Amino acid sequence: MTEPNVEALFDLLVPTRDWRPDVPSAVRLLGLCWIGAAGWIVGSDLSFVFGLGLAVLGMIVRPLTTVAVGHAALIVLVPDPFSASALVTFGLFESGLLLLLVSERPTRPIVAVLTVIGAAGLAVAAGLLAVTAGLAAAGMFIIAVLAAASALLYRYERTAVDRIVAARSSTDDEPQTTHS
Amino acid sequence: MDPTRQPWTAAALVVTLAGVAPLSGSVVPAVGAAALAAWLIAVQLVAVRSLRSTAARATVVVEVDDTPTEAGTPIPVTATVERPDAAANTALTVTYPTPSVAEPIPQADRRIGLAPSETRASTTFDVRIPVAGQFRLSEPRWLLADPSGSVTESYRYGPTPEFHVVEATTQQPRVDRNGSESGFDVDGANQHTRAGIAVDRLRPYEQTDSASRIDWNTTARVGEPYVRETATQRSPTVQLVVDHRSKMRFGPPGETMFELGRDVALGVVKTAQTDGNRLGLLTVGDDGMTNTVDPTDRSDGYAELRRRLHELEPTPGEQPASGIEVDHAEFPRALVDDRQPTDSEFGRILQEFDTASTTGASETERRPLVRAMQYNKPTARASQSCVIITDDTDRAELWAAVRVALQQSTRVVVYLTPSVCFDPEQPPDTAHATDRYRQFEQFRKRVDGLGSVTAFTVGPGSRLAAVRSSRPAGIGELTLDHTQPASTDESTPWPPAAAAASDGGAHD
Repeated sequence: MTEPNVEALFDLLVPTRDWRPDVPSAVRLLGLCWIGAAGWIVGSDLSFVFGLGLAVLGMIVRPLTTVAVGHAALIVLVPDPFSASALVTFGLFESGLLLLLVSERPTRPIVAVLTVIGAAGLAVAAGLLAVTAGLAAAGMFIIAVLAAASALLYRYERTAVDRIVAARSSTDDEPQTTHS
Repeated sequence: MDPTRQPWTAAALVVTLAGVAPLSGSVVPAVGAAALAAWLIAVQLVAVRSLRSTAARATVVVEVDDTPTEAGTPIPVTATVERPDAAANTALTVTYPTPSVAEPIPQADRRIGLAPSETRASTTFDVRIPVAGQFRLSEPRWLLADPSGSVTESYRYGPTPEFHVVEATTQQPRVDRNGSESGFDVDGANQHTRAGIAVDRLRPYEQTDSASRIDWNTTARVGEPYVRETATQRSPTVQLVVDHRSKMRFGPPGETMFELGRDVALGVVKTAQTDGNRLGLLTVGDDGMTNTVDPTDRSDGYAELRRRLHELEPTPGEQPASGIEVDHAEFPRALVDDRQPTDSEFGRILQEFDTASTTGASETERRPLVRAMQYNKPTARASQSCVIITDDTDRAELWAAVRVALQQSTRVVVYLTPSVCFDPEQPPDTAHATDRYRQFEQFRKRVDGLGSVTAFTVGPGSRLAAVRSSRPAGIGELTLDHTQPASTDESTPWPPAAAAASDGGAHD
């Protein structure tokens, strides 16, 4: 017996990188424009090139990759975000990157809200940990939180679905077979 | 829950950024890692909620035909998946597995797909099982994905319909009359058992006709009694009588007298259903009637008739109960005399029938087929036709049964299996077998000549051809004489296929 393939399932989903006239594309375009504008607002040549380059990259690759590349490249533009001017620059670009991140298909308000709240909380905790215990500890903390949360969700989902299926299979009215 | 490539990519980016932070001495990559990690956790959280909702509310309903199906025949299965709008956040596929004994079915035919926001879809596929038995379709496999395609979930759940597969007809029985094929199709139509059985015509009165059926106007005009056979305005009723006594069990596996007769009976059921005829069933075993089903024209009624026929087996042959006083006693006795002495079971059964015919036992009590026809009499309808499926072993009983049937039916159709074609001790291509077949054919013609009776021969085509192709004993040269009457034994045109040209169609 051939097992069902996952490709047939994913054919039912909207491709992640397609541009089309819908909310995710609009949010993504807004995020890229914001990043481009932030580069112009900051006013330096480097920031303008950074903003323009990231906007072009964001048009080609998916938002997740653009956000990762953007944060890595931001080190050059904002080496130390704890000064007042650097904090403004960092805040401007970070807002655009977050907008880009939540534009990953399908853009759902609940995911956007949880992402913003979670990112803020994790960043503050990681920042405090970086100050007190160093950047390595901050990095380890973020990885540990992600791993623990994913493992818990995995176990919970597996158990919940198993119990639901077992409960439904044991009831008399389901599953149904009709005879013609 | 299984993560796809997308969350693994995101996790790899988180780890990379978290690693770059201490290397670069900047907290900026760590903030990026925190943002990506937060997004990944949020996506998984929402996915878990969606998957749970779908698992709890989506249902699959399967429709199958639960009537017994012949092996190798496609069984249509229709599966429908439904879910409420509140549980329509996921993409899902439901795939039924192919039963291990069934012929392969393309996966695309067995799969139902629902995109996010879709709430209902169905598919129909055919299951073809080449062997007989009871089979159950396994539970379908559900495959769910959250709308972002980040995680998938799979489980098995759903109805497991059962199939009842019966043996297929290995060889289409040949059904013919006067040596020419009648056009009987087991899968469908037999023109002689269709609604047209109740014909609209006038014909001379015969001794077996009821006096109430005489058309007096025509009789007065013509000067001799005539009977009007009128087509009924309502659905004609057909009474099917199937003989499954122990004597019907002979023949090669898959082609016994009983199995060929049952195939014909199933064909009659199908024809009746197609034409909307009411059909009743009487089955006759060694000890009397074994099944009585009142005439029905409901689809579940036809299904019940098929089920009863499929469950039928020849009754055990230890005690052949038909002690009979044979009207034409020469046949079983001649049959036994003609056979070489043998200890075979077939010979023993014939011997017992022959012995029983001289015992003088109560005639009616010992004739299950006649008793069945008499049972049918009180419930007979004016528009009724009767179909009798039996063999020629006890011709006296059959003759009497047909006469009873004629009293209560406007038309009688008899399907006869010639026992000579099923005798395990008698090769069909011998002159002796040909003699026996000729006697059978003469008897069939006599039955066929009875009023509104039509008699057919039912047998395996190869054996019928073999028994017809041999020369009869005592005839030195094969003579085809189309001018002689069929009742003259020595000059009967032979083989019967040739006779068909001379007298075929006399009753059509």
